[in-house]
Amino acid sequence: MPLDSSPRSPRLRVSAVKVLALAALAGCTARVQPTASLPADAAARLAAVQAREDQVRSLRARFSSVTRLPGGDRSADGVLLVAKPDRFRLRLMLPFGITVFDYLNVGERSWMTLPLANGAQRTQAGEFAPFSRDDLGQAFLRGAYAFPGRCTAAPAADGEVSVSCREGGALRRTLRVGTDGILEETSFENGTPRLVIRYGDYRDVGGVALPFYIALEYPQRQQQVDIGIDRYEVNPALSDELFQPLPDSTAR
Amino acid sequence: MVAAPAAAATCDSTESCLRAIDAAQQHTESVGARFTQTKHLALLDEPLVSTGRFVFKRPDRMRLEIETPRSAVIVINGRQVSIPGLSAADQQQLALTPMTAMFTELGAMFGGSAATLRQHFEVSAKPAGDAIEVTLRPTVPDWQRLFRTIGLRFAGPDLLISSMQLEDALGDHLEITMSDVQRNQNIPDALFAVPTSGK
Repeated sequence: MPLDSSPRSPRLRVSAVKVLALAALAGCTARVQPTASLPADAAARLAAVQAREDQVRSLRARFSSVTRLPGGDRSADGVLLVAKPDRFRLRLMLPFGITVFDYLNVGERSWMTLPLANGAQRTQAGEFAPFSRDDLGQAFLRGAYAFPGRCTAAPAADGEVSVSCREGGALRRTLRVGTDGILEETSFENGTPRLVIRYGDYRDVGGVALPFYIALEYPQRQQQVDIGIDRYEVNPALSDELFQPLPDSTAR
Repeated sequence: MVAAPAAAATCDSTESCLRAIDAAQQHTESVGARFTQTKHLALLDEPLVSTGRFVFKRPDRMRLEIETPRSAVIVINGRQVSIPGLSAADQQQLALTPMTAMFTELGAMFGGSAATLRQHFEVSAKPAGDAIEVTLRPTVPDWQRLFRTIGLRFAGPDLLISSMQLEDALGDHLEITMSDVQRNQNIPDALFAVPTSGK
């Protein structure tokens, strides 16, 4: 039985498609209830967080996002569908209901549709979706995307737990985990922080604590996306038809 | 003197129905109405509903004031577009997209120039009680990527716009129902001003 929650959310602010996706991760919820605190022990807290995420097999989220770019902000409302382990779809709309972006991922393949774009603009499609497949996997599919390689947990200041994930000796991701859930995740590329995801406003949805606020920051690009979740459905039935490429989509 | 619009009952072909609409709109300078917009997304089980006010002013100006669930104002003034939440650069880019040209051309329906729609649409029209229903299918590839069909319903003795149905190329449906439709109210040009920088 899917869990559904549509609490009054703080106004979502997100910008780019990237932000939207991240927000979706955080967004499953049901009734607004206080979240259960995670264990104090570092290893136990990491295990509890991963166990929580494993409870979410599918997800549907409605969100608003504001992407902050050097040239100005960009707002959009959207819908995210996730069917683990390897499928998700993201669709964005303008305020008056016109769909402007559709992104589908199935396994290692992805497709993008930009209905408003003319031919020249479609050739620059990458500018509309600068996120990488890896970014989206970390945000939506979780599992090994979010916890790559071997992850170890250690006590940190203020009752937090610090998690480091290494693969082949290289640092891939770090996480700060509070008593409600993950507070911040940083992905590294060649030793440099590439993507920082911050989570907040955790609420309980049928026993799963999910963030209703997500912020994605690409430090090297001066981009930030703020996402507010309007509504989550946890483990809804999502038909295969919802993950079919559109006839006019562009494979990436 | 405004000529009496042709009765929908006398319209029995696409040609005669379009003539009836044109005749009814011939002296239309502006149209204002409240609207309820219902978006049916294939990805969602429940529709997204918004309400607000729509204004058209001849020849090519439109203003959409969304009041609920979140307020927003969208203005199309010829080839200029103002949409909240987009940067100036994004808006300039949007003005170049097929959407702007298409909505500008759709405005011809409200100004009594339905025949011009044939430049970029396959047009069919038929009577439906006291109304006339018009179906538009884009013939331009860029426009086909936006919408498969657009349905317009002109109702009542004055054949005023009463609803629109838009089926987009992604399989989503948008229904817009008009109410309190009024013609030729005094609408200031300032309502259609498009900021030249920023949002």
